Amino acid sequence: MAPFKFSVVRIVLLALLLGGCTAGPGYKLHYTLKDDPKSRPIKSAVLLPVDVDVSEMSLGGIVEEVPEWSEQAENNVRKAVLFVRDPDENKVFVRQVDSSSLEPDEQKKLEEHLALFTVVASNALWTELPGNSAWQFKQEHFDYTIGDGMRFLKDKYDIDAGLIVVGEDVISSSGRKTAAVVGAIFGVGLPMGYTVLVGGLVDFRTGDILWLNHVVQTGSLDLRDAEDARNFARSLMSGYPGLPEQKLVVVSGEDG
Amino acid sequence: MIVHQLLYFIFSLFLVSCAAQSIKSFEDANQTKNLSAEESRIWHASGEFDHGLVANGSIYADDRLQRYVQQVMDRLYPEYKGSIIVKVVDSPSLNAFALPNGSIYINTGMLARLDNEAQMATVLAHEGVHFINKHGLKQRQNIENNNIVSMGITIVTGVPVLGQLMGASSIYGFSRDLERESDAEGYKRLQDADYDTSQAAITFQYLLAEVEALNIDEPYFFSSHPDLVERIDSFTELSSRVPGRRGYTGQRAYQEMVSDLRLEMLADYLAVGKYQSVLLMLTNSNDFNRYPPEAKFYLGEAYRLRGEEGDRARSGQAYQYAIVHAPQFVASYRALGIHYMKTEQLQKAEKLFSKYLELAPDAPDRAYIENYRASLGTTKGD
Repeated sequence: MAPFKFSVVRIVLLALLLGGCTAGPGYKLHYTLKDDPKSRPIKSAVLLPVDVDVSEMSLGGIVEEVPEWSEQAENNVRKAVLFVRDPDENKVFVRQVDSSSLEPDEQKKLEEHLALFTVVASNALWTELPGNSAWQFKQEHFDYTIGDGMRFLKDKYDIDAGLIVVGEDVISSSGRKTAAVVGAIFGVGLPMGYTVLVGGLVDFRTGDILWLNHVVQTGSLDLRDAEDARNFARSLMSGYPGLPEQKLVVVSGEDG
Repeated sequence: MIVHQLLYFIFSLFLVSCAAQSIKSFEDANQTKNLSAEESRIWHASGEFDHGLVANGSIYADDRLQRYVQQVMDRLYPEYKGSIIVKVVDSPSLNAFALPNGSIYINTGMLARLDNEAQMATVLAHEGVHFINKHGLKQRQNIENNNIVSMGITIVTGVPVLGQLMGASSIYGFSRDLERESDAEGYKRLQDADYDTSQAAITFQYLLAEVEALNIDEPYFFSSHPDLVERIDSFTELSSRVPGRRGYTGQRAYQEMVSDLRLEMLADYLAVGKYQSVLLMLTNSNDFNRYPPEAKFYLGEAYRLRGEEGDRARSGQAYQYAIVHAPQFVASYRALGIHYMKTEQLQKAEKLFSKYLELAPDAPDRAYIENYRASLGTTKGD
């Protein structure tokens, strides 16, 4: 796992541990959007490279990423996010951009800002942890930003915002699952796999995080499975600006 | 019936853990391109770690030094040229480590403390064995096995037993047997590459002396007192059993390569207030020989920061030494100028400030120095 992403996934897991079995959805909106949803018009957004690590937890509890599984899950999550549409079909909220069209220095800058997002998102989520009294006012006055270093993407593609999705999926091996069953019979619980997705919408003009959400689930979810990925991504996208939860629809068929 | 099945399952857990899967060492560089699924995963994780170190700016930006260190590694492991990649990490800690994918890291703090190329080669040769003999993979398997045994005991007895954690990775050292294996095979590599093998044990004596003198308390393998003692014993035994030749020491080449690094380390120590460490490093005349003459400037600064009785005079002497032996090192003029200004030797202070500005006309603190000169009241007369 990329070291940057490590922090944000751990915070979500900690939230799960402290808050019970469900730690989402509990999305945050930038305070300007909360006060006036039309204050930050986002006409278009780009889905930035999805970064999901899928690992296997061995019988002995060692967690190791399986690159091919990660690629499969990233494809599934990418498609799943792109499936999510507003009921108003003439408005495409999220579109894909071929990141290979970026120059090497732009690619590097993008990578740095994706890493920065995970750090800032970790801090934002940290304030949400149960019992954490520090920075409480941030929960109401959500004003996290990663700076305007991604403005070049707006200039290049004429896109207002970027959707960032990172996550981790730990899948227990069959040996581990069997051991868990045996352990349960003897009254011994073994830690098992989990799935985490964190999503954020960043305004390219200012770097403000307009929307931040996370979903986490322990157990048998598997992002290598398209259906699982679609359902989980739909939960993640709840509260996405311009996509009210109550109007959320999932369009089946081709993506894009 | 179900009880029998459960007992059979638990018994099989022990069997899995006890089955010693033989992990064969690489025999040549071609084998590094033909990895098992398990190895591929551990290599992928290593690659991510490599990428993270580069991305967060941990690699020391000195291409000349990087090339030099790589050349030494290639001399030790010529058949693995291109497969073992050494990188210098910008970190003051005494550490070097190998990843399962052939990436080997050595810290600037380690390089700054060694005396010659043969000593650096000792460390690199040792780390190279960790890669070739797949110690990372073996360690992973040991952890897995230990965890399975712990899990089995917990399930059967209900008593939780903690297995080894993955945190006990190569960065913090391997098992005693694997480290000894690296010593023995690393020593052979030193011999084959015609290095002065008498430096092998001395390498760790140097590091141990530093750890003791500076009271270093770090979790790393090369800054752990017991591990260093073990290395000294191991290499002393090896050299008595297999006496080496008086091969290449490479002191001059090494000194030239790391002299800037040593000064940077002293500056870093002073920047974080560790003047006691600088005093310990530089007041031993034998140790001082490892440092370029500019180091006396830092010794002067350390005395100044300590500020005990007699330290002002000591710092002045140290600055003077630095000016005489390293006349192009401008910081000494500035420091001695301020020293003279504070001790009311205004003419001398004026001369040194002038020299400083002459040598460093674009100095960022030029305005400050000119202000000092004006306050001396001596400039009109010159």
